[in-house]
Parts: sequence; C-alpha cells; structure tokens
Amino acid sequence: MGSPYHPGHLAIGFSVWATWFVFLYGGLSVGCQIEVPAEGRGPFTWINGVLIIYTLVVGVGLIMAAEWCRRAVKRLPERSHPLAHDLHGRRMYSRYYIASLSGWLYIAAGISVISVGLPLLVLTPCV
Amino acid sequence: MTEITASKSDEMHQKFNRVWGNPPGIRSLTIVNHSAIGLRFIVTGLVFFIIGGLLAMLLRTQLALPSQEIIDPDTYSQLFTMHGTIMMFLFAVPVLEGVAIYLIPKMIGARDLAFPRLSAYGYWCYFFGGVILLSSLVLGIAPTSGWFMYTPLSGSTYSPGPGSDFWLVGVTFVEISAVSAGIELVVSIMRTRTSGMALHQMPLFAWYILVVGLMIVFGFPPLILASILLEVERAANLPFFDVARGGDPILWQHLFWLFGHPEVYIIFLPAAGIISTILPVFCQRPIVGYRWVVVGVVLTGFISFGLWVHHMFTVGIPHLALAFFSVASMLVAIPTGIQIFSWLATLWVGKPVFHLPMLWVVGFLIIFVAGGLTGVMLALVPFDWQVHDTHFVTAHFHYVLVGGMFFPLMAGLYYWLPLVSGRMPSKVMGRWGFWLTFMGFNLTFFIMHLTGLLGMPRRVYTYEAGLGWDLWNLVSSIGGFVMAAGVAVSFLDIILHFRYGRPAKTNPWNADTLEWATSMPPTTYNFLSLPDIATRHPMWERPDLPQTIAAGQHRLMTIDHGRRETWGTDAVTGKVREVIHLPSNTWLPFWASFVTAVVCITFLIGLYWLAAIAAVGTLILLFRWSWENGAHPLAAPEEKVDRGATPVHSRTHDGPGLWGMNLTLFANGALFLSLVFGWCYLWTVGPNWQATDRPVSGLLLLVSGIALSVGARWLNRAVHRLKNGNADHLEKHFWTVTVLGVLHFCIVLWALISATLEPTKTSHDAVITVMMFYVLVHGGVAAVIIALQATRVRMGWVGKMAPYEPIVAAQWWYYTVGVFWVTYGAIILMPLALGVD
Repeated sequence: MGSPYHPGHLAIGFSVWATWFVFLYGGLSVGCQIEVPAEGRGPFTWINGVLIIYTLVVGVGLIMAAEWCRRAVKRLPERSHPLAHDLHGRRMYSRYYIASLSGWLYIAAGISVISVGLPLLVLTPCV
Repeated sequence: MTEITASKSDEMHQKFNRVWGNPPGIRSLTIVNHSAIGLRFIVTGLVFFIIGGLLAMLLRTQLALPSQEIIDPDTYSQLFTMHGTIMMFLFAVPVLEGVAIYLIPKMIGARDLAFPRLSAYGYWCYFFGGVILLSSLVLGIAPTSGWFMYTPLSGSTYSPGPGSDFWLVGVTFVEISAVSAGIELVVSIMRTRTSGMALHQMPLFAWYILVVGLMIVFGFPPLILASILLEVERAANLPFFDVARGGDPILWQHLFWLFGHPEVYIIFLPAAGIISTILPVFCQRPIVGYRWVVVGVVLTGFISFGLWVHHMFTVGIPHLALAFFSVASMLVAIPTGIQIFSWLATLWVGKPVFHLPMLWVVGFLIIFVAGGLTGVMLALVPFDWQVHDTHFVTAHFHYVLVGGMFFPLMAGLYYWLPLVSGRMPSKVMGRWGFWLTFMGFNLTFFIMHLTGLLGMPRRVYTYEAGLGWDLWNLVSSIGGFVMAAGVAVSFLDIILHFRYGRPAKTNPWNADTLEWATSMPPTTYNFLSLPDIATRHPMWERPDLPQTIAAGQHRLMTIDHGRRETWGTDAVTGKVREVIHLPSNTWLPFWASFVTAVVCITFLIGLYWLAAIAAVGTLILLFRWSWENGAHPLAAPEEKVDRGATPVHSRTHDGPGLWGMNLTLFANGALFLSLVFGWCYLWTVGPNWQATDRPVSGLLLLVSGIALSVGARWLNRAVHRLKNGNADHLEKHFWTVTVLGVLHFCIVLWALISATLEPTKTSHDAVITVMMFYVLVHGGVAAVIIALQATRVRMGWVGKMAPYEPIVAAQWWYYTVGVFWVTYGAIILMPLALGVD
C-alpha cells in the first residue's frame, strides 16, 4: 500500500470518505448527547467547530493523496500505450492507469467530503 | 502456441466433455458449471418476475375505479408486500447475478467461476428461499407490512401471524445466496482472467460487476443482521426494536436502508454495465471515456452507501444530519451523469444501428433519466416531506428500477440470445413487445406522478370517488395492462425463437468482447484453449479467435489428468501465476442448501428442536464440503504436477480461496459492525436505554480472549514456518491451537451461562446476548477448522507440498480474535469508561 501504484488506492479514498461520513453523523449525535448548544447561536457552536475542523483535515488529506498520485504518474519514465503487447509495456501502463485513476478518485473523495460538510457552515445542530 | 489438426481437436473436445460435461436427469441437480447455474438463476428470476407482475395487475385492477371491493384490505396488503419483495429480492438482484454468473467467465477468458460449488449453493439457497416466501402467499398468510417491513408494524404485536416470519427467514436465505454470488464474482474477476488481461483491459461489464460484487459483500449483511434481530425478537421476545424495553424501531430503518439504498445501485449498476457493453457494439466504436466510466462506477458504488437516511427524511432526524444526506444524495447524480454523458457521446460520435437491443437501450435512457431527475427532486428535504408516501414516490422508483434495470435487462437478453441459443430473435414480435412495454410503462407511471402530487397515498387499497384521482387511476391501470401485454409478447418472442429463430452466424452483432469467441451455444468449458489477451476489444482486433480457440491453438490444453482447470492470474497485470483447480459436479451444494431450508421451515412451524438438529446437519455438510478440497483424492483425481509447470493453486500461498475467505470475512465483518452500530445507536439515542451493572464476567472473558489470542499467535507462527517450507511437527502445532480454541470456547460458554443477563427485559442485555453468541459460534468454528487441518496433515493432504489450506484457515482465526476484542471493548470496557455501574 506504500506505493501509489498499488490497486488498493482505488478503494482507499472513498473508504476514508465512508468512514469520515459515519463519524460525522455519529459525532453529531454524540455531541448532541454531551451538550446541546444554546439556542440562537446558529452554526457558531462547538459541535460545528469540531466537525468543520475534522472535515477540513480529512478533505485536505484526501486532496494531498491525489497530489501524491499525480506526482507518481509524472515520475513514470514514459506513458506506455494501453494496448502494449510486451510485458514491460503492460506493467508500465498498469502503473500509470492505477495511479491516475486513484488520483481522480482521491480528488472526488476530497470534494465529496468538503461538499457534504458544507451544511456545517450554515445550519444549527441538534434541532 | 500449439497447433493441432482438426481430428485431434475433435478428440480434445470429447476429452474435455468427459471432464466438464453436465450429467442428465436427477443428477443434473449436482451441476456446478457456471453456464448452467447462470441460466437457472435467470429463468427462475423471470418466473418470479411473472408472478410479481401478476400481483401488480391485481393491484392495478383494484385501483382502476374508486370504492372497488374486488380485493379486501388484508389481501391487498399481502399483494403489495409480496409484489415489492418478489421484484426486489427474487427477481432484480438474482436475475442480474445470473447474467453475471453466465457471462463473466466467458468475457474474461475463464472456463468457470472460481468457486463453482458456491455458485450452485447460492442458486439452491435462492430457489428454496423463494419457494418459502411464495408459499406464504399461496397459504394466504403472506406478510402485510410492505417490502421494507418497518417495525413496530412488522413486530409480533401488530403482525402476530407468521407472515413476517416467512419474510424474514425467506429473505435471509435469499440474501445468503446474493452474498455468495458477490464473493464468487469478485474473486473470479480479480483472479481468473485469462493470461495478459490487465485490469485496464477488462471489459467494462467486468468493472461494473466487480463494484457490484463488493457492494453486495458490504451492503447485504446489515439486512441479514436486522432480519435475524427482528426474527429473534418475534420468536424469543428479545427487545431490539421495542421502545419500552430500551429498543428503537428507528434502528430497523437504519439497518434496512443501510442495505436498501446500496441495493438500488446493486440493481442499477449491472444493468448500466449491460448498456456500456451493448452501446459501443451498436455504434461500432469503443466507448467514449472508458476510464471516466470506471471512475463513475467506483464513485457510484461508494457514494450509494452514504445516502440511506434520505429514505428516512420524515422520521425526525436533526436537520443538520438531513443536510449531510441531502447533499450526498445529490452528489450521486454526478457519477451517474458521467456514465450517461459517456453513452450519449458514444452515440454522437458512433454510427448507431437500431437493432432490437438498441430500442431497449434508448428506452432505458429516456426512462432512467426521467427517474433520476425526480430522484434529485426527492433529495430536497422539503419536497420529500410533501410527497412522502404518495404515488409520486412509487412513480419515481418505478422509473428508476424499471427504467434502470428492466429495460437494460431486456436489451441484454436480446443481445446475448444468439450466444445462448445460436438463433436470432424475431424482429417483428420483438419490436411490438418493446413499444407496448414502453408506452404502457409511461402511461402507468408518468400518471402516478400526478396522482401523487394530487395527494394520493401509496398502499391504500381503495379511494373515494370525487377526489380528483378517478380518471388518472383508470388511465394508470390501462397502462399497466398494456405494459403487461408488451412483456408477454417479448417473453413469447424469446421462447419461440428457440425453435423458430433463424440460425445466427458467428459473432452476429460484430461485438468486441470475448464471450463471442465461444461456440454458440457455448460448451461447458467455454474455451478449449485459453488465449493471451492484451486488448479491450479482442474480437475486433482478432476476429479469428473463435476458430483458433476451438482448434486448440492457445494454452492450458492438458485434460488427461481429469481435473477442471483455468488460469489463476495476477489481479493487476493478468500475468499467469497458477493453475486453478476447480471442483467437479457434486451433491453437496444441493443437500447443504436443502438442509438449510429444513432449518428455516422447522423454525417457521415452531419445531425448534428439529431446527437445531438440521442446523448441526448443515454445519456437518459444509465441513464435508471443505473436506473435499485441495489434495483430497475426490477433489484431485490425478495429483501429478509436471516439474517446472505452472503450479496448481493448492501448492501455492495465494490461491482464490484466500481471496474468497477474506471477502467472506469482510461480509461477516460488515454484519458484526452493524451489530456494534446497533449497540452504539441504542446506547446513544435509544429513548429508554437501560444499562445494567456488568452482567457478564469481564475476568472470564479476558481469560478466554488470552487463550484465543495465544492460539492465533501459535497458528501464525506455524503457518509462517510452513510458508518457508518447514512442516516439522505441523500436526502437533495444529492440535495445540485446537486445544486453545476449545478452551476459549468453553470459557465463553461458561461466561454466558454464569452471566446475570435478562435478555427479554432490556435491549441492553439482549444485544450483549447476541454478541456473546456471535463470539461463541466463531470461537467454536475456529477450533473445528484447525482440528480438521490437523487431521488433513495426518492424511497427507496438507504439508510442505500443499501449504495453502492452513493459510486460508488462519484468516478465520485472526478475524475471530479481532471481533472478540471489539466485543470485549464494547460490552466490558465501554461501560467502564462511561462509568456505568
């Protein structure tokens, strides 16, 4: 998994998104059990604050992972043709394919985290 | 490459037939071949579809005019519940699995799926589960709570009859079938592609099925758990969903829709895969944006797990949480949009030919896009509140499901008919069937949007005249019958074509994928010789493949040893790593599922002692199944392996069984995590949660956990040494691990017996009881698995030359250790940390 060419990266980005989502939803419920923020504070509550920071950390982390994959793609000596018939050519294209696909999936996961977290900026929790 | 003469080729085909052939008569129940099993899934699914459709006609007959008394309210409730249940559980998922089971090996250049016995077991579970469900309808005791069985309506208080029990038991049975197919398909796609077929060269259909298989693995267990909990609540009075005793009916909704929303995409994605396969063929060019489609499919698969609460917008969840799910619901439209634009672009730049399958493709595009748009409307919380539980929602999901699944399925059936039968469908009847279905569908369901907006609730058995719904309901019902006529014409066309269709030429649509390189109809082994494939479009680049394959000009032609074999390849590059040795026909899957059906039926009629005996019988059969594996003489008629030849998978460290075991444990883990979710959910938001003071001895559990962990560590070391070629004292090591496993089992049993649990009084104790049983069963199975391995070492079937099985078995142990300590944390440490006394 340490290599950006590992196929596991195809699933990691959105697995992080899914885990983030569960903890976002669960965290909101637990936060509301611990202490319901005072009325009239709108989105400016400790719950929103914690969840916004959490969202930013995960979102930025995913976008950094995408950048890591992009650099890995650039590091490849040459972009072999997808229909290469020799073993080396096939292996190189597989690496290119997996790293670039993973990069796009990391970006999509990062955008999904930020998008789903946007309501934290405007809505009051626990009501 | 080896070239052989025509007579030699015929001789080879005869030899292959002797090893791979399907037996006739009663012994056909032993068939495990993917083509036969896939077709059985499809035909059985279509029969269930006809039954579900007939129920729909009865519903529409009743609603055609106001104040009708043709069907009484209770029967009406049974009909709509069974209509939804049949269509979702007995038709949509199984029939698409059947298509995948039939096609995937042919598309990826394999002779069969990785676990043929599992295919057969899955089919029989589906068949028996379906029969159990339908029998309730025939007996007039079908469930009446709707296809999503909301509690408390489906609980014993409001549904005291056996209807809910039939649903819970039957659906769980069918779900086992779905999960087994999901595991089977994922492993087959990852590990049995033909030589050289790298991940980026797979047919798109295989990508779709790969994602769907994984979605099934993670998506179905929450419902299996929910069904078990509700059945236990109904049968043994353990209160998981009873507010008064600390439960919460909303937990059912969470668990159901954790399954239910991915289920929609589990149905849609294979159908979209059919479209992505067919459309480029009829445009005679590669699909536009292969990689973007793959991104779209993976995105859809994941995001679909983050939408479940949009089915629960009206239950009173905090509006910030609703907003999370609302945004996620809109996000999922993006990857679907990517696929739709890819299809449109392919149509735009290609030269589309509107043969019969393409009519269904275009019908799909129109209907599904309309359904998707109303889906975005429903993702908006205020709009959803207005139309919740009205005909608008019914219309929306029929647009999505019929448009997104039935139309592509029909396109696929017509497209692959020549492959299955060697004959072409009728152009005239096929077109009549399409147009009647298309017009009838829109007449029925477009109108339902209007009745929904006019306020007509779903699931009412009748309505008064003068509410403004009369005319629209009549039109809807007429449309329903027109659609039924269309479906009947299409099915008749398909049946008749087997006799009257004109013979099809090789690759009649000039398709690009490898299934068309088999004979028409295909042989049981698909390919006499397995070709090297390094392209996404093998049939366009090498149109002579059918001839060269049948002439034996490619590889893996050895058959004298009597083994069924296919390539085991690297998951990414498609490089050959081993020869996968596949099992032959056997009664085991049939009897294992039959005895499981006996468990279900005896449970339903209250013969619990017989159910317990049958459950033990099922376990024995499953262990017998695992016994006939690897180097067992029944599994390997000829053990000889040529020196230097590609090794048989049982002689390696990483065969398909390891992948299958890990995926099974992922599914198992999804079920367990759903249980942990239920525990945390009830603890956090259960209205009357009552935690009791340390009902289970933490010390006993700690000791049992240490025994289990030491056993796992011991096993790990033995397996590690075996992988390095050291099999000294292997049997002794395995017996030591077995003793530690038995010790763990006995201590957990002791802890359970000595616990002060009152599982019928509080949901707190009920959940702990279930968790303890879960740990107990896993510990017991872990001990038996390793005891069997120790015996196999003694028999000479496991050892230095065949080190594979203990590696697979060890995964179960590691998993059992993991779930044990999570359980310990949840029921012992968490209450301590929260200061509950």
